[in-house]
Amino acid sequence: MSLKLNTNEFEVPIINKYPTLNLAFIVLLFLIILIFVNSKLAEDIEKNRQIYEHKNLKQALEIDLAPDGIFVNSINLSREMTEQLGYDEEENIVSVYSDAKLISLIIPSKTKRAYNGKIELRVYVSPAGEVMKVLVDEHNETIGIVDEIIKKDSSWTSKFKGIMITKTNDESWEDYFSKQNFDVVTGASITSRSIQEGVYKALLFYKENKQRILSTKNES
Amino acid sequence: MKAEPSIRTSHNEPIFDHKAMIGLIGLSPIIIMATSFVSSIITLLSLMFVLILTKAFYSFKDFLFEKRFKFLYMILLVSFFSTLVDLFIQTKLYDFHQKSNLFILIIAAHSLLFVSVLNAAPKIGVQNTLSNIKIIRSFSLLLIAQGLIRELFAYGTIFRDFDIIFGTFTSSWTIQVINENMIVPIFQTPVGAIFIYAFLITGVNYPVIKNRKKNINKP
Repeated sequence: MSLKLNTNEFEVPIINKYPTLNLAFIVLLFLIILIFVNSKLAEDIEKNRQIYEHKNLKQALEIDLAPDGIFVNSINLSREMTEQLGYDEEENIVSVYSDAKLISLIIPSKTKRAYNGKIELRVYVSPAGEVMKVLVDEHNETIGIVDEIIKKDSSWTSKFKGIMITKTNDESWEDYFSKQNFDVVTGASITSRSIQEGVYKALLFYKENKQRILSTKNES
Repeated sequence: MKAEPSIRTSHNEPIFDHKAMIGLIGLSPIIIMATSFVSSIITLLSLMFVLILTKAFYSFKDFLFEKRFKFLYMILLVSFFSTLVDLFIQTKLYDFHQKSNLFILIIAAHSLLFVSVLNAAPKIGVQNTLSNIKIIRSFSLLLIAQGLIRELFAYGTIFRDFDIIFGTFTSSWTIQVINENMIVPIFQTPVGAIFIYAFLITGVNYPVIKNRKKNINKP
Protein backbone atom coordinates (compact mmCIF):
# COMPACT_ATOMS: atom_id res chain seq x y z
CA MET A 1 0.00 0.00 0.00
CA SER A 2 1.50 3.27 -1.05
CA LEU A 3 1.16 6.35 1.00
CA LYS A 4 -0.01 9.41 -0.93
CA LEU A 5 0.72 12.81 0.47
CA ASN A 6 -1.59 15.65 -0.46
CA THR A 7 0.77 18.55 -1.02
CA ASN A 8 -1.75 20.98 -2.53
CA GLU A 9 -2.43 22.76 0.72
CA PHE A 10 1.28 23.50 1.11
CA GLU A 11 1.81 24.75 -2.46
CA VAL A 12 -0.72 27.58 -2.36
CA PRO A 13 0.04 30.30 0.18
CA ILE A 14 -3.02 31.51 2.10
CA ILE A 15 -2.73 35.01 0.67
CA ASN A 16 -2.90 33.62 -2.87
CA LYS A 17 -6.33 32.10 -2.19
CA TYR A 18 -8.05 35.47 -2.59
CA PRO A 19 -6.48 36.98 -5.73
CA THR A 20 -9.44 39.29 -6.47
CA LEU A 21 -9.27 40.68 -2.97
CA ASN A 22 -5.51 41.17 -3.33
CA LEU A 23 -5.97 43.00 -6.61
CA ALA A 24 -8.70 45.23 -5.16
CA PHE A 25 -6.48 46.02 -2.19
CA ILE A 26 -3.53 46.92 -4.43
CA VAL A 27 -5.71 49.13 -6.67
CA LEU A 28 -7.04 50.92 -3.60
CA LEU A 29 -3.56 51.36 -2.15
CA PHE A 30 -2.19 52.77 -5.42
CA LEU A 31 -5.16 55.12 -5.72
CA ILE A 32 -4.65 56.46 -2.21
CA ILE A 33 -0.93 56.99 -2.86
CA LEU A 34 -1.61 58.78 -6.16
CA ILE A 35 -4.28 61.02 -4.62
CA PHE A 36 -1.91 61.90 -1.79
CA VAL A 37 1.04 62.63 -4.10
CA ASN A 38 -1.18 64.61 -6.46
CA SER A 39 -2.56 66.74 -3.64
CA LYS A 40 0.99 67.51 -2.49
CA LEU A 41 2.23 68.41 -5.99
CA ALA A 42 -0.88 70.07 -7.49
CA GLU A 43 0.11 73.53 -6.31
CA ASP A 44 3.61 73.28 -7.81
CA ILE A 45 2.24 71.94 -11.08
CA GLU A 46 -0.27 74.78 -11.36
CA LYS A 47 2.51 77.27 -10.65
CA ASN A 48 4.68 75.67 -13.36
CA ARG A 49 1.76 75.81 -15.80
CA GLN A 50 1.33 79.53 -15.20
CA ILE A 51 5.07 80.19 -15.60
CA TYR A 52 5.08 78.17 -18.82
CA GLU A 53 2.05 80.02 -20.25
CA HIS A 54 3.52 83.35 -19.23
CA LYS A 55 6.81 82.49 -20.94
CA ASN A 56 4.99 81.43 -24.10
CA LEU A 57 2.91 84.60 -24.15
CA LYS A 58 5.98 86.72 -23.63
CA GLN A 59 7.72 84.99 -26.53
CA ALA A 60 4.69 85.14 -28.80
CA LEU A 61 3.84 88.78 -28.15
CA GLU A 62 7.50 89.83 -28.02
CA ILE A 63 6.76 92.31 -25.27
CA ASP A 64 7.92 92.41 -21.70
CA LEU A 65 5.05 91.33 -19.49
CA ALA A 66 5.12 91.76 -15.76
CA PRO A 67 4.72 88.24 -14.29
CA ASP A 68 2.24 89.37 -11.64
CA GLY A 69 0.39 91.87 -13.83
CA ILE A 70 -0.55 89.38 -16.52
CA PHE A 71 -4.11 88.14 -16.66
CA VAL A 72 -5.59 85.68 -19.14
CA ASN A 73 -9.27 85.06 -19.85
CA SER A 74 -11.15 82.95 -22.31
CA ILE A 75 -14.29 83.97 -24.15
CA ASN A 76 -16.48 81.10 -25.29
CA LEU A 77 -17.67 81.36 -28.88
CA SER A 78 -20.96 79.95 -30.03
CA ARG A 79 -21.09 77.23 -32.68
CA GLU A 80 -22.14 79.68 -35.43
CA MET A 81 -19.23 81.94 -34.58
CA THR A 82 -16.64 79.17 -34.61
CA GLU A 83 -17.94 77.95 -37.96
CA GLN A 84 -16.68 81.23 -39.42
CA LEU A 85 -13.24 80.28 -38.13
CA GLY A 86 -13.39 76.84 -39.76
CA TYR A 87 -14.25 74.78 -36.67
CA ASP A 88 -17.05 72.27 -36.21
CA GLU A 89 -16.98 72.49 -32.45
CA GLU A 90 -17.00 75.26 -29.84
CA GLU A 91 -13.79 77.20 -29.39
CA ASN A 92 -12.45 79.97 -27.19
CA ILE A 93 -10.83 83.28 -27.84
CA VAL A 94 -8.20 84.05 -25.24
CA SER A 95 -7.80 87.64 -24.15
CA VAL A 96 -4.54 88.73 -22.55
CA TYR A 97 -4.44 91.64 -20.10
CA SER A 98 -1.35 93.30 -18.74
CA ASP A 99 -1.90 95.57 -15.75
CA ALA A 100 -5.67 95.39 -16.35
CA LYS A 101 -5.28 96.62 -19.96
CA LEU A 102 -6.26 94.39 -22.88
CA ILE A 103 -3.13 93.89 -24.96
CA SER A 104 -3.97 90.96 -27.22
CA LEU A 105 -6.61 88.47 -28.32
CA ILE A 106 -5.64 84.98 -29.40
CA ILE A 107 -8.02 83.87 -32.15
CA PRO A 108 -7.98 80.22 -33.25
CA SER A 109 -8.40 79.55 -36.96
CA LYS A 110 -8.66 76.36 -38.98
CA THR A 111 -7.67 76.63 -42.61
CA LYS A 112 -9.23 74.90 -45.58
CA ARG A 113 -7.39 71.83 -46.83
CA ALA A 114 -3.67 72.43 -47.24
CA TYR A 115 -1.42 69.76 -48.75
CA ASN A 116 -2.17 67.01 -46.22
CA GLY A 117 -5.23 68.32 -44.42
CA LYS A 118 -6.35 71.29 -42.42
CA ILE A 119 -3.97 73.48 -40.42
CA GLU A 120 -4.85 74.96 -37.04
CA LEU A 121 -3.48 78.40 -36.28
CA ARG A 122 -3.40 80.81 -33.40
CA VAL A 123 -3.55 84.39 -34.57
CA TYR A 124 -2.51 86.98 -31.97
CA VAL A 125 -4.40 90.17 -32.72
CA SER A 126 -4.10 93.56 -31.02
CA PRO A 127 -7.37 95.18 -29.81
CA ALA A 128 -7.15 97.45 -32.89
CA GLY A 129 -7.17 94.39 -35.16
CA GLU A 130 -3.50 94.22 -36.18
CA VAL A 131 -1.74 90.87 -36.37
CA MET A 132 0.86 90.56 -33.62
CA LYS A 133 1.93 86.96 -34.22
CA VAL A 134 0.86 83.86 -36.11
CA LEU A 135 1.61 80.42 -34.69
CA VAL A 136 0.92 77.06 -36.29
CA ASP A 137 -0.73 74.80 -33.72
CA GLU A 138 -1.45 71.57 -35.56
CA HIS A 139 -0.77 70.34 -39.05
CA ASN A 140 -0.13 67.21 -41.11
CA GLU A 141 2.19 68.77 -43.64
CA THR A 142 5.50 67.15 -44.61
CA ILE A 143 8.20 67.99 -42.08
CA GLY A 144 11.28 69.31 -43.78
CA ILE A 145 9.40 70.99 -46.59
CA VAL A 146 7.27 73.26 -44.38
CA ASP A 147 9.81 73.82 -41.60
CA GLU A 148 10.30 77.46 -42.58
CA ILE A 149 6.57 78.04 -42.10
CA ILE A 150 5.71 76.03 -39.02
CA LYS A 151 8.61 76.79 -36.70
CA LYS A 152 7.87 79.14 -33.82
CA ASP A 153 10.34 81.81 -34.91
CA SER A 154 9.48 81.52 -38.59
CA SER A 155 10.63 84.53 -40.58
CA TRP A 156 7.82 83.90 -43.08
CA THR A 157 4.97 84.02 -40.54
CA SER A 158 6.58 87.08 -38.93
CA LYS A 159 5.72 88.95 -42.15
CA PHE A 160 2.07 88.87 -41.07
CA LYS A 161 2.93 91.18 -38.18
CA GLY A 162 1.19 94.50 -38.50
CA ILE A 163 -1.31 93.57 -41.20
CA MET A 164 -4.98 94.35 -40.67
CA ILE A 165 -8.18 94.51 -42.67
CA THR A 166 -9.39 98.05 -43.06
CA LYS A 167 -11.48 98.12 -46.21
CA THR A 168 -14.25 95.99 -47.64
CA ASN A 169 -15.34 92.53 -46.58
CA ASP A 170 -15.98 91.51 -50.17
CA GLU A 171 -12.33 91.23 -50.97
CA SER A 172 -11.09 87.64 -51.15
CA TRP A 173 -8.04 86.57 -49.17
CA GLU A 174 -6.19 85.87 -52.44
CA ASP A 175 -6.77 89.44 -53.64
CA TYR A 176 -5.88 90.85 -50.25
CA PHE A 177 -2.50 89.13 -50.08
CA SER A 178 -1.63 89.68 -53.74
CA LYS A 179 -2.24 93.42 -53.20
CA GLN A 180 0.10 93.27 -50.23
CA ASN A 181 2.76 91.51 -52.41
CA PHE A 182 2.85 88.77 -49.80
CA ASP A 183 5.05 85.98 -51.20
CA VAL A 184 4.74 82.24 -50.57
CA VAL A 185 7.50 79.84 -49.51
CA THR A 186 9.04 78.12 -52.52
CA GLY A 187 8.20 74.41 -52.49
CA ALA A 188 5.46 74.90 -49.91
CA SER A 189 3.12 77.22 -51.78
CA ILE A 190 -0.06 75.26 -50.93
CA THR A 191 0.75 75.34 -47.21
CA SER A 192 1.68 79.04 -47.40
CA ARG A 193 -1.57 79.95 -49.14
CA SER A 194 -3.56 77.88 -46.70
CA ILE A 195 -2.04 79.82 -43.80
CA GLN A 196 -2.76 83.12 -45.53
CA GLU A 197 -6.38 82.02 -45.83
CA GLY A 198 -6.47 81.10 -42.12
CA VAL A 199 -4.99 84.41 -41.01
CA TYR A 200 -7.39 86.37 -43.22
CA LYS A 201 -10.30 84.39 -41.82
CA ALA A 202 -9.28 85.27 -38.25
CA LEU A 203 -8.82 88.95 -39.09
CA LEU A 204 -12.16 89.13 -40.87
CA PHE A 205 -13.84 87.38 -37.98
CA TYR A 206 -12.39 89.89 -35.52
CA LYS A 207 -13.35 92.83 -37.72
CA GLU A 208 -16.94 91.64 -38.00
CA ASN A 209 -17.32 90.69 -34.33
CA LYS A 210 -15.04 93.22 -32.67
CA GLN A 211 -17.70 95.02 -30.65
CA ARG A 212 -19.33 91.80 -29.61
CA ILE A 213 -16.04 90.22 -28.53
CA LEU A 214 -14.79 93.25 -26.65
CA SER A 215 -18.06 93.75 -24.85
CA THR A 216 -18.48 90.07 -23.96
CA LYS A 217 -18.07 89.42 -20.32
CA ASN A 218 -15.17 87.08 -19.68
CA GLU A 219 -16.31 83.53 -19.14
CA SER A 220 -13.47 82.25 -17.05
CA MET B 1 28.86 13.98 -37.22
CA LYS B 2 30.35 17.39 -36.74
CA ALA B 3 27.92 20.08 -35.66
CA GLU B 4 27.63 23.11 -37.89
CA PRO B 5 29.26 26.09 -36.22
CA SER B 6 26.87 28.83 -35.20
CA ILE B 7 27.63 32.53 -35.23
CA ARG B 8 25.36 32.99 -32.18
CA THR B 9 27.42 31.11 -29.67
CA SER B 10 28.96 33.96 -27.73
CA HIS B 11 26.84 36.16 -25.47
CA ASN B 12 28.98 39.17 -24.89
CA GLU B 13 26.25 41.66 -25.74
CA PRO B 14 22.87 39.95 -25.59
CA ILE B 15 20.88 42.81 -27.09
CA PHE B 16 22.92 42.72 -30.27
CA ASP B 17 22.84 38.95 -30.48
CA HIS B 18 19.13 38.29 -30.65
CA LYS B 19 17.05 39.22 -33.63
CA ALA B 20 13.80 38.90 -31.69
CA MET B 21 15.01 41.28 -29.01
CA ILE B 22 16.39 43.80 -31.50
CA GLY B 23 13.02 43.72 -33.25
CA LEU B 24 11.02 44.12 -30.05
CA ILE B 25 13.07 47.03 -28.76
CA GLY B 26 13.06 48.58 -32.24
CA LEU B 27 9.28 48.65 -32.04
CA SER B 28 9.41 50.59 -28.80
CA PRO B 29 7.90 54.07 -28.97
CA ILE B 30 10.56 55.39 -26.58
CA ILE B 31 13.12 55.50 -29.37
CA ILE B 32 11.05 58.28 -30.95
CA MET B 33 11.40 60.42 -27.82
CA ALA B 34 15.19 60.60 -27.81
CA THR B 35 15.56 63.74 -29.92
CA SER B 36 18.53 65.09 -28.00
CA PHE B 37 21.12 64.00 -25.47
CA VAL B 38 19.20 65.66 -22.63
CA SER B 39 15.83 64.23 -23.61
CA SER B 40 17.32 60.75 -23.92
CA ILE B 41 18.81 61.03 -20.41
CA ILE B 42 15.50 62.21 -18.91
CA THR B 43 13.61 59.49 -20.75
CA LEU B 44 16.11 56.87 -19.66
CA LEU B 45 15.97 57.87 -15.99
CA SER B 46 12.17 57.88 -16.03
CA LEU B 47 12.12 54.54 -17.75
CA MET B 48 14.59 53.00 -15.29
CA PHE B 49 12.49 54.23 -12.36
CA VAL B 50 9.35 52.60 -13.78
CA LEU B 51 11.17 49.49 -14.95
CA ILE B 52 13.13 48.72 -11.79
CA LEU B 53 10.19 49.26 -9.44
CA THR B 54 7.81 47.34 -11.71
CA LYS B 55 10.24 44.44 -11.91
CA ALA B 56 10.79 44.50 -8.14
CA PHE B 57 7.08 44.51 -7.27
CA TYR B 58 6.26 42.09 -10.06
CA SER B 59 8.43 39.48 -8.36
CA PHE B 60 5.66 39.14 -5.72
CA LYS B 61 3.22 38.00 -8.39
CA ASP B 62 3.40 34.28 -7.53
CA PHE B 63 2.82 35.06 -3.91
CA LEU B 64 -0.21 37.28 -4.55
CA PHE B 65 -2.02 36.03 -7.62
CA GLU B 66 -2.95 33.14 -9.83
CA LYS B 67 -1.74 33.09 -13.42
CA ARG B 68 -4.75 34.90 -14.92
CA PHE B 69 -4.20 38.02 -12.81
CA LYS B 70 -0.48 38.38 -13.45
CA PHE B 71 -0.61 40.48 -16.61
CA LEU B 72 -3.25 42.72 -15.04
CA TYR B 73 -0.95 43.17 -12.06
CA MET B 74 1.89 44.16 -14.39
CA ILE B 75 -0.30 46.75 -16.16
CA LEU B 76 -1.34 48.11 -12.78
CA LEU B 77 2.27 48.46 -11.62
CA VAL B 78 3.42 50.11 -14.85
CA SER B 79 0.47 52.55 -14.80
CA PHE B 80 1.09 53.45 -11.17
CA PHE B 81 4.82 54.11 -11.51
CA SER B 82 4.40 55.90 -14.87
CA THR B 83 1.83 58.24 -13.29
CA LEU B 84 4.22 58.93 -10.41
CA VAL B 85 7.00 59.77 -12.89
CA ASP B 86 4.63 61.96 -14.85
CA LEU B 87 3.66 63.92 -11.74
CA PHE B 88 7.31 64.32 -10.83
CA ILE B 89 8.22 65.51 -14.35
CA GLN B 90 5.34 68.03 -14.22
CA THR B 91 6.70 69.34 -10.94
CA LYS B 92 10.38 69.56 -11.83
CA LEU B 93 10.58 69.63 -15.65
CA TYR B 94 7.33 71.19 -16.85
CA ASP B 95 8.84 72.43 -20.13
CA PHE B 96 9.95 68.92 -21.00
CA HIS B 97 6.50 67.61 -20.12
CA GLN B 98 4.89 70.11 -22.49
CA LYS B 99 7.32 69.32 -25.29
CA SER B 100 6.64 65.59 -25.05
CA ASN B 101 2.87 65.30 -25.04
CA LEU B 102 2.57 61.54 -24.86
CA PHE B 103 5.37 61.07 -22.35
CA ILE B 104 3.39 59.08 -19.79
CA LEU B 105 1.83 56.81 -22.42
CA ILE B 106 5.15 56.18 -24.12
CA ILE B 107 6.92 55.37 -20.86
CA ALA B 108 4.08 53.02 -19.90
CA ALA B 109 3.99 51.32 -23.30
CA HIS B 110 7.74 50.89 -23.33
CA SER B 111 7.86 49.54 -19.78
CA LEU B 112 5.21 46.96 -20.62
CA LEU B 113 7.16 45.94 -23.68
CA PHE B 114 10.49 45.86 -21.84
CA VAL B 115 9.18 43.89 -18.87
CA SER B 116 7.66 41.42 -21.34
CA VAL B 117 11.00 41.20 -23.17
CA LEU B 118 12.88 40.57 -19.93
CA ASN B 119 10.34 37.93 -18.88
CA ALA B 120 10.60 36.27 -22.26
CA ALA B 121 14.40 36.50 -22.28
CA PRO B 122 15.10 32.89 -21.27
CA LYS B 123 12.78 31.63 -24.02
CA ILE B 124 14.75 33.43 -26.73
CA GLY B 125 18.17 32.41 -25.48
CA VAL B 126 19.14 35.02 -22.93
CA GLN B 127 19.85 33.04 -19.83
CA ASN B 128 19.95 34.93 -16.56
CA THR B 129 19.70 38.11 -14.54
CA LEU B 130 23.18 39.13 -15.64
CA SER B 131 21.96 39.03 -19.23
CA ASN B 132 18.96 41.16 -18.26
CA ILE B 133 21.32 43.75 -16.79
CA LYS B 134 23.36 43.62 -20.00
CA ILE B 135 20.20 44.18 -22.05
CA ILE B 136 19.30 47.24 -19.98
CA ARG B 137 22.88 48.55 -20.14
CA SER B 138 23.09 48.07 -23.89
CA PHE B 139 19.68 49.66 -24.39
CA SER B 140 20.70 52.67 -22.27
CA LEU B 141 23.83 53.19 -24.36
CA LEU B 142 21.78 52.84 -27.54
CA LEU B 143 19.25 55.41 -26.38
CA ILE B 144 21.92 57.95 -25.41
CA ALA B 145 23.81 57.39 -28.68
CA GLN B 146 20.53 57.78 -30.54
CA GLY B 147 19.81 61.10 -28.76
CA LEU B 148 23.28 62.45 -29.58
CA ILE B 149 23.22 61.40 -33.24
CA ARG B 150 19.67 62.61 -33.81
CA GLU B 151 20.43 65.95 -32.21
CA LEU B 152 23.47 66.35 -34.44
CA PHE B 153 21.84 65.42 -37.73
CA ALA B 154 18.31 66.71 -37.13
CA TYR B 155 19.19 70.08 -35.60
CA GLY B 156 22.95 70.36 -36.24
CA THR B 157 23.60 71.06 -32.55
CA ILE B 158 25.11 69.56 -29.42
CA PHE B 159 24.09 70.35 -25.82
CA ARG B 160 20.60 71.31 -26.94
CA ASP B 161 17.71 71.39 -24.41
CA PHE B 162 19.91 71.92 -21.34
CA ASP B 163 17.56 74.77 -20.42
CA ILE B 164 14.87 72.18 -19.74
CA ILE B 165 16.84 71.03 -16.70
CA PHE B 166 18.99 73.96 -15.64
CA GLY B 167 16.89 76.97 -16.69
CA THR B 168 16.94 79.53 -19.48
CA PHE B 169 20.46 80.80 -18.72
CA THR B 170 21.84 77.55 -20.17
CA SER B 171 20.23 78.13 -23.59
CA SER B 172 23.56 79.61 -24.68
CA TRP B 173 25.29 76.27 -24.04
CA THR B 174 23.88 74.92 -27.30
CA ILE B 175 26.60 74.72 -29.93
CA GLN B 176 25.69 74.76 -33.62
CA VAL B 177 28.05 72.19 -35.17
CA ILE B 178 26.40 71.70 -38.56
CA ASN B 179 25.05 74.55 -40.63
CA GLU B 180 21.24 74.80 -40.54
CA ASN B 181 21.07 74.38 -44.33
CA MET B 182 22.86 71.04 -44.12
CA ILE B 183 20.70 69.34 -41.49
CA VAL B 184 18.51 66.36 -42.36
CA PRO B 185 14.97 67.09 -41.09
CA ILE B 186 13.84 63.48 -41.48
CA PHE B 187 15.83 62.66 -38.33
CA GLN B 188 13.41 64.83 -36.36
CA THR B 189 10.61 62.44 -37.24
CA PRO B 190 9.86 58.96 -35.81
CA VAL B 191 11.01 57.43 -39.10
CA GLY B 192 14.42 59.04 -38.61
CA ALA B 193 14.61 57.52 -35.12
CA ILE B 194 14.07 54.03 -36.50
CA PHE B 195 16.71 54.63 -39.20
CA ILE B 196 19.27 55.65 -36.59
CA TYR B 197 18.40 52.63 -34.44
CA ALA B 198 18.98 50.38 -37.46
CA PHE B 199 22.30 52.08 -38.29
CA LEU B 200 23.46 51.78 -34.69
CA ILE B 201 22.62 48.08 -34.48
CA THR B 202 24.32 47.45 -37.81
CA GLY B 203 27.34 49.49 -36.78
CA VAL B 204 27.77 47.60 -33.51
CA ASN B 205 27.04 44.17 -34.94
CA TYR B 206 29.18 44.41 -38.06
CA PRO B 207 32.67 44.05 -36.47
CA VAL B 208 31.41 41.44 -33.96
CA ILE B 209 29.93 39.22 -36.67
CA LYS B 210 32.98 39.73 -38.86
CA ASN B 211 35.27 38.58 -36.01
CA ARG B 212 33.12 35.55 -35.32
CA LYS B 213 33.12 34.52 -38.97
CA LYS B 214 36.90 34.86 -38.98
CA ASN B 215 37.18 32.63 -35.89
CA ILE B 216 34.83 30.03 -37.39
CA ASN B 217 36.84 29.85 -40.60
CA LYS B 218 40.10 29.30 -38.66
CA PRO B 219 41.27 25.69 -38.97
